[in-house]
Amino acid sequence: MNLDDALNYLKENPSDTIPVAGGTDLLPRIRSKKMPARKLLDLSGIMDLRYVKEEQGVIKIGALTTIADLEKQRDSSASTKLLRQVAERFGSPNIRSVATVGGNVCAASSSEDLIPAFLVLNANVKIIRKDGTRELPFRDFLISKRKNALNGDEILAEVSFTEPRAGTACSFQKLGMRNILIIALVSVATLLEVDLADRRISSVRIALNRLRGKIPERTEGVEKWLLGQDLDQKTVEKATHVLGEELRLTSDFRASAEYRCEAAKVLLRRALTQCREDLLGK
Amino acid sequence: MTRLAKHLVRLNVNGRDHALIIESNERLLDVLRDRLNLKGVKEGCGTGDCGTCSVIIDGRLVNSCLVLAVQARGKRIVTVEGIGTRENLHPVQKAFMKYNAAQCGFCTPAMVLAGKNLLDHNSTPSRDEIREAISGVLCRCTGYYKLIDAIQDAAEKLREDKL
Amino acid sequence: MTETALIQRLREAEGLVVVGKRIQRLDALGKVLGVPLYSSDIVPKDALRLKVVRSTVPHALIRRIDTDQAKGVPGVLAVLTAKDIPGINEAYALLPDRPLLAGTKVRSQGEAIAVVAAVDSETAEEAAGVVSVEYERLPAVFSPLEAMKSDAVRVHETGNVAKYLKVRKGNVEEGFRQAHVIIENTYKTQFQDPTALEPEVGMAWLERDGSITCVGSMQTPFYVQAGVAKVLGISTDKVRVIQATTGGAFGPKSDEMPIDTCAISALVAYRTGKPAILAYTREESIIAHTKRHPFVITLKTGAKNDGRLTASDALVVSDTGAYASLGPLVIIRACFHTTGPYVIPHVKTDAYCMYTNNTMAGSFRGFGSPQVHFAAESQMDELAKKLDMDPLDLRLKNILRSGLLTATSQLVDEACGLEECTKRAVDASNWHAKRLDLARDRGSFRRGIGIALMYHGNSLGPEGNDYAAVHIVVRPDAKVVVRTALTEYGTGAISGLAQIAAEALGLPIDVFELGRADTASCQETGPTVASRVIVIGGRATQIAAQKLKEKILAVGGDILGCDPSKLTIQNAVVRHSDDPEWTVSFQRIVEECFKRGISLTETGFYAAPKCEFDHENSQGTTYLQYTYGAVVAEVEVDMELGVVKPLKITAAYDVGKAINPLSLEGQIEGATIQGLGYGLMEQVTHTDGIVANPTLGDYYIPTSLDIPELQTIIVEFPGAVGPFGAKAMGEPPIDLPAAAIANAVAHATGSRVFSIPLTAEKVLFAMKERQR
Repeated sequence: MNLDDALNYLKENPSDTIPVAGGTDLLPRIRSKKMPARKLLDLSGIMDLRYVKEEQGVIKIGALTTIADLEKQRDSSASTKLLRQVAERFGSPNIRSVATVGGNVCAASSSEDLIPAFLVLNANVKIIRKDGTRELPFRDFLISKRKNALNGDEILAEVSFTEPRAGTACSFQKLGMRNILIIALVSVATLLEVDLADRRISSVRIALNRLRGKIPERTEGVEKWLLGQDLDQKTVEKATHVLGEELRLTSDFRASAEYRCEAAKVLLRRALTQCREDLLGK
Repeated sequence: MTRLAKHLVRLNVNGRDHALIIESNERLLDVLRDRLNLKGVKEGCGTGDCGTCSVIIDGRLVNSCLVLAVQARGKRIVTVEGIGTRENLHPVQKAFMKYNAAQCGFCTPAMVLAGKNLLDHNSTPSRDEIREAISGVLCRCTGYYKLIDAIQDAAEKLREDKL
Repeated sequence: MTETALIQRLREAEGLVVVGKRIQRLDALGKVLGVPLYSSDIVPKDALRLKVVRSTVPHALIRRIDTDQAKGVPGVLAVLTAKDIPGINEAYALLPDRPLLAGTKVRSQGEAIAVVAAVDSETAEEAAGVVSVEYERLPAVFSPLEAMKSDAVRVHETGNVAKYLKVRKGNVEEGFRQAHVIIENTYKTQFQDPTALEPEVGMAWLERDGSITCVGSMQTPFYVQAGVAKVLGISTDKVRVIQATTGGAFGPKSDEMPIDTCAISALVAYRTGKPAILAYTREESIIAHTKRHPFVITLKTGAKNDGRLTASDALVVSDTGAYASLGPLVIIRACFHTTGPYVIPHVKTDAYCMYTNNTMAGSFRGFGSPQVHFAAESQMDELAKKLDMDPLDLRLKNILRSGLLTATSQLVDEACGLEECTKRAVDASNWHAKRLDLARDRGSFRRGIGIALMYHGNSLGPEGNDYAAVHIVVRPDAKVVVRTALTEYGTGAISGLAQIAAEALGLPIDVFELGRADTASCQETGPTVASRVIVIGGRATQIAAQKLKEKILAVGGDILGCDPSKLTIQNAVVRHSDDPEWTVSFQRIVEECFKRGISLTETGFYAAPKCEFDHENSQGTTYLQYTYGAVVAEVEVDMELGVVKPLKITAAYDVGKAINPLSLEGQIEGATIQGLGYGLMEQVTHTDGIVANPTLGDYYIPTSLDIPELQTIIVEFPGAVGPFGAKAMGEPPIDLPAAAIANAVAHATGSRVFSIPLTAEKVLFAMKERQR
């Protein structure tokens, strides 16, 4: 089946079809009855949607690009490094081989590690259907936990973003209960630029797997505060306090809200420190 | 019971083609075990967390409980039954026997495939690379040490054989 | 054991040909080939698939069970409930407190209420989804301490105490009067899931003669046989149970679940005339099967300023969940080992096994020992801190040595390798240097090193009649089968029995095969638990081998025309001791035996001497021999996140005699990592009685990326009972990793976490608490 066939099918059957690619999130949910078994549309063979390319400074990643594909990217741009950091600790090697960028993004939950990364990359998503295309900013694509902006006859085709400028530092920090095959308790994605002349932060984007709700979000309060600050230890420390104020986390049996807040602050500190070292040396 | 669509699918498993009528929601795991009688593929959890259902698809180690059988059409699928026989064991299988690396044996087929797949791509793996390669398969009996020793041993044997 | 006996043991150990060698296990080939071996691999084509409807509330009366809609689903052949049980509706491991199918009341989540039998799994699942159960909820109790209160919710009519026992040695009041320093702490441990990679499964079919055959994943076929017969209301000789290759067990597969899977399957087979299989999903498995008991342990310990312990007063409380399972036996072992391996003249321990409305706890590798050692060894370090003593020195001052008395006043009379293990672990781990160096770590990552010691009473001891039966069968082709209802489920122990038989018979290991554990062809042999296959089963094997050897040599003497007492067997050749050229092959003798109709099937039965002790105060010989061990753990703690990274574990065990050092290492390594998971990341969490994390995506066992460097050291001080002095080693290596890691973390951070698992949150907050 090719992309046209898939889109035709969706046009005919918009209300009871679920597109599936890697199935790593979907199949267990169907089996455990967390979602009803409806018609599945297998997209996994559509090679047209599996690519990572650069067009005039814009990086475009096809929705069927696997996490393993991201892990293998070798160039040293900030976005490649960031996505590789996410990929290296994603699921397990078995899962990376089949899990896709599209699947991860569409799942729209805090356990999807690529989402914080795409949020800080200020990504856009390209959504296609039989009769047209539309683009959305990434943050508008995520509506709430497990709810995205796709209509029944649409599929996510591509995630794209402007490649961060040379000299952008990046960091992905993740905390879980063991070293692999985990749902992140806390994860933080960071992109940061510094004006090398006065060492002030000229651009910063930070996203956490959870901030106030149940899906990943950008930390606007922290970003606003950091912009223009000197990237020194005092700033890093103060940023964690600002984050503490912005956080509205909840407790569950895995960890208390208090611990998650502590951990988020530590991960932010480490992310900013890592960026500082990358940009300004130790 | 919900009637689901059926498809005629050609699967290439262990070098042989099989033409099968498969329902949309049949997992590759079920087709391999129940239709093709390849019992080496196990179901330990059904959620992609334990890896005992691992098979090699086009050179990648994959959890077959997360793959719909229809998604595997046109791909080269390898299970433990395809890599060695009683008379002609794969070096990883021989090494597992040498180190008593199979205790209860339930994760063994998946671990053997993980080892073989690693060595197909990397003939001089470090211990850390071996640990990474098997990290998607859980073992409760061995603590992993003898599995790593065995795969390292098999790597050496394979290099010696090449010389 | 006397010195002469010890010397004899050591002599036996010399010149061994097969025992003591690193030999490949006999069941490896099928496993590496992925041959169909496990229950789900050998299901009869026309077998009905079963799905159990389970309780979704922790405590309730069942008002109504409506199965009509389910029965109407096409493809469903039967929907059974308690009223369909022809025999007795009971399935329990020890106390008669548990039904197979709940009829009037449920006491925990996950209890079986109804069974759907259908043509395939999807249909069974669909129909199970439309069985409706009407509950009248009852108040519930979820904490064992709560359950002890006089006004607590009653889980059973008999009350909430499933078992109480005590240890009384000396006079604790006097002991505390003599103490210069007294500390008291409460320690908590969690539910641990066994997480065998193969979930529970059992199947059954009717034979032509109306008898039932069951095949399943299990540790103890004869328990299952008795359980199935009772449910069907037929005699046990009408029930045959065969253990299929079992993908991991660790204890719970000797409790209620195999009875459940096989009896439920048998019930359906009986009713429908068709084969039936019940295979648990992983989620069902985690919720329904027995897990490790959580414990709350309060220890009050007194010592003199020089470190000598004077008194121990302990309250030990376990949570056995809704049904006792083997809780009453777990609490006994825990009670006897509460103090750790030390000499304490005055000991008072009160131990309670309590019912709650949590899911069941039962047998699990270690059987109470990991829990009490976590508490005892944490307490020793806390005491060392109070006394300003090195924790190793404090231990050496008090450890058990030959000639001294345990907490149950048992004389440590056999060669006791505890001090040797301690010394070797300390040396190999560079303890002294690291204890000082690592304490100097500053910054966000700090390392620590901790030690823990243990003793582990071997085999059943006070837990039951300790016997085993092993058959050795020589075939016409001169291959030798070791057949027993003691079971293999990963340990390699049955291959170990073959090694012992090979040694006794003078045959090479490659003529041996392992037979099936089958009630139809094996004598009843007690459970495969308590790490007793080598110790007790090994003795039975030696007895069978001896009988067989006498027969072989008698016929050999006949063939050669000489006195059989002059003959020896080595490497399958029978040789005259005076003239080595005068030989006849084992094969030739076997042929002759078959010609003459001489049976070459021998059964060895061994029953261990009963442990005699005063049950009132638990004083006397509680176990026949002990395994000893010392574990040193080195960790690195992320001081800002509390994450504990294990760096190295050095584990030294006095194993008595290693029958197969290669297999033994495998057991030590596996148990160590299972113990590491217990200490760092594993916890089945109940929220108001409902299991919050019944999937492997939310219940974390160690992966290959979570393991530290591991060095194992084997020490051999022959025990009194086991063949060649062998001691139990399937379980002991799980007793200490959590304790040693806890002590290492305390060393690194300067603060103590009084419960396991040592999650990052607990470690971090313990540090913050201390700073306040």
